Amino acid sequence: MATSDYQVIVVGSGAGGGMMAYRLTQAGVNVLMLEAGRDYNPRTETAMFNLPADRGLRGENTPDHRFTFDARIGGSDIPGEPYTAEGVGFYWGRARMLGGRTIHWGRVTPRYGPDDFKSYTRTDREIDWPVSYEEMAPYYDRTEQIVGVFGPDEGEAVYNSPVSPNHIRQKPPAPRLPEMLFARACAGMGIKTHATQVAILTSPLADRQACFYATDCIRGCSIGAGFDSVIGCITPARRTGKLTVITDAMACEVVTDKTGGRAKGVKYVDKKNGERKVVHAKVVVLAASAMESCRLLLNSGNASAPNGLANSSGLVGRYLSDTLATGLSLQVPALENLPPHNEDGTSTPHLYAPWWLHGRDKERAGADFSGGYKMEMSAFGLSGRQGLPTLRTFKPLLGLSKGLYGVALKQHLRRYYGSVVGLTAFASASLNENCYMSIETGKTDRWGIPVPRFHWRWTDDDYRRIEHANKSLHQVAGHMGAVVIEDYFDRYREKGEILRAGGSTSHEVGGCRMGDDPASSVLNSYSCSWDVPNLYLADGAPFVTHSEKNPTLTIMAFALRAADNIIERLENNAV
Amino acid sequence: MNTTLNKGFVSINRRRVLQLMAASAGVVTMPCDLLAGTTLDQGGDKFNPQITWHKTLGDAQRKTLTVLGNFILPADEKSPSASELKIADFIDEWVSAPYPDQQQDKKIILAGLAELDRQAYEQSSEYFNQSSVDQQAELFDQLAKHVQKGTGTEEMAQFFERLVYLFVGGFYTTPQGMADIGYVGNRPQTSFDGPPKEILRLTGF
Repeated sequence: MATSDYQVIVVGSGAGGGMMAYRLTQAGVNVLMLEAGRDYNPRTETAMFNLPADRGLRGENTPDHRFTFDARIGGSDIPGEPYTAEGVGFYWGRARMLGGRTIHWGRVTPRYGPDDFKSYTRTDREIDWPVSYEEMAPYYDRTEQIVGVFGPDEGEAVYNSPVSPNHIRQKPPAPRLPEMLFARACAGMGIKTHATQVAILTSPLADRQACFYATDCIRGCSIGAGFDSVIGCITPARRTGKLTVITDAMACEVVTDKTGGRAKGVKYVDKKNGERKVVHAKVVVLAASAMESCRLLLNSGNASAPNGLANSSGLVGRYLSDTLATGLSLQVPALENLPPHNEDGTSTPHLYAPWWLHGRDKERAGADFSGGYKMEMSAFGLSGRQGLPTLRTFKPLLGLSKGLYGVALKQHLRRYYGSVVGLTAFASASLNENCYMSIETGKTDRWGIPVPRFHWRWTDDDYRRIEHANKSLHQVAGHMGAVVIEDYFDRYREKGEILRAGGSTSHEVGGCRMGDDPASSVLNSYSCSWDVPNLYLADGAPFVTHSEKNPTLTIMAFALRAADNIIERLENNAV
Repeated sequence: MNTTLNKGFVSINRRRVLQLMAASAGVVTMPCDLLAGTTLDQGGDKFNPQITWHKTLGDAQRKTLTVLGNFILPADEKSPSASELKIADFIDEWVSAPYPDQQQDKKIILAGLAELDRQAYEQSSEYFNQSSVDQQAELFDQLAKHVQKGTGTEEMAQFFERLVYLFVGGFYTTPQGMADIGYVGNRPQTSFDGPPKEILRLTGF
């Protein structure tokens, strides 16, 4: 196909890019997708039932990723692709594979709530998004029907944590024993818990099987139960014959016409031979991840846009955010010495406690900060429960047994295996002008692309929120009758870093916020640039504020909404 | 050493190594760290995971490790001994691997083995693995007591900690070890219905 035949170029193949390509191709639009990483097929490349002892070093990770079973290709230290940071630092976790970060993620997919979209109007904090929850609800519904999300009964929803209607959600798996103890502890504190919303099928959907409740989701999912963009979006998009994918294509610039006010296409580096190539289309969609898309725009300046493309507001790369997190390791006497039983379930918490303090309750609780946090048992890697044993499983158990050996050690391990669990709080982050990206002068990566510099400072509001979260976790631990054996809040405080580097939770969003006013936003409410009317963003970049909820479902819902807008404008020749 | 192995080897700074070590210390595998760290695959084959380096321990060191492994994890009614499951082989594989963490462990383990030899020689003019079983047991028990009371050297405490960590991890990731500890998952099920009734009864639900 000649490049001029493409109607839309989508840069990136993760959650936003995949959903964008899915929707556009279903409507008959010709799409070219560029992916910076290699081609990847979860159906054939995922190690499912393989055991740690089947591999070298018992499957532990090494710097060259040679023995681990986990699916990630990429990370924060990619050879030849550096970046710089100041302030508390920044972890820039990047995937370099088809499917982006959806191959290797927790799959927790809550909806943003009414207060999250209109926090200024409804809670007198932060600023509003240009859309309300009511406007987004139909897009959440449609996204969940494509993705497949299990979650609670709609009657269980709590304030500002909306859940799917019952006819759309899939039924959740039962909670595991540690999660039941957690729920009981929360109930004792007057805090409601319900099933987590998770992009894992418990009933078949299209050609994707239901979960079989074994194997670690972080390895990826060859049966398509755990949602990833390749099986869930790109494969059906390819089936339409309307999608072309070029992998190993590192986008470096949005190419514009002479006026600089219209996108003509995308310049990329063909990583196989280092050549620079240009592809053209009527519409350009950046879904390269919030940070990579901001970098692309800042690197695409021209005579009429000297500070970067689509940046007349000066807000590209500004108001970046990430989820805050803190946690405890607990030893739970009630979980000792239990008869063996299968606790695999999914690798994601089966239930959690949504943020529970609002309005007067929040004031009375002395929760003097914007936003909130949610609490859950950590379940990744299955360690700590009666999960698949790896070397790491035993580290906390051995921490309880100084100098023990022999039959006494074996008895000790039998007693404590499954009794050490993690408790985590994920918190919102405050709207923050001190978290932003600039381009490092005179420094380029191995592809000759100028690299970003991250500036990151948390606020006092953030500190107060995470301190409150830490106290709540200790209360939950107390109600569980658990012994705290590790406190991440304390550990970081000792290092003078109560809050970790930006990006540590891999929930980085913002940098091209949407709004009603071109002077104070980069995009309109359809994620389309005010300055460049055929340029859209479809990753985390359009986020205005960042609640405690995981961002991926919202990224996909806005990608779907942007896709609808593109389709309508293409049909009306209005783009 | 296989040279292709090192081709994509990425140097990570000391601070990052410490962070990674810290991140792996507790059970709260903070979901946040999923993408932090370094990984670019080599097109590595997840289904044919042969190690590419030679095991480097000498006969004497392996014999000593085998003895120590059986002190740490002797046979009992539920599972065999560490030597029956050849866990010393795994330790050899581990300390011979060309990665920073494993090279660090190698230093700790070799220094500890040498110190046990020195202590044995001081007592009986024989190296550790030529000493009597009683003497070996006595020396190892002394080491464990020092660790319990915090009275020994930091090097030997570290040696004990790494040795037990690797033997335990190597042991309980085998099928026999998993059966002993009571891991009964990794098999497909049509639904996930939560804990069985007996567990609910035992835990007061």
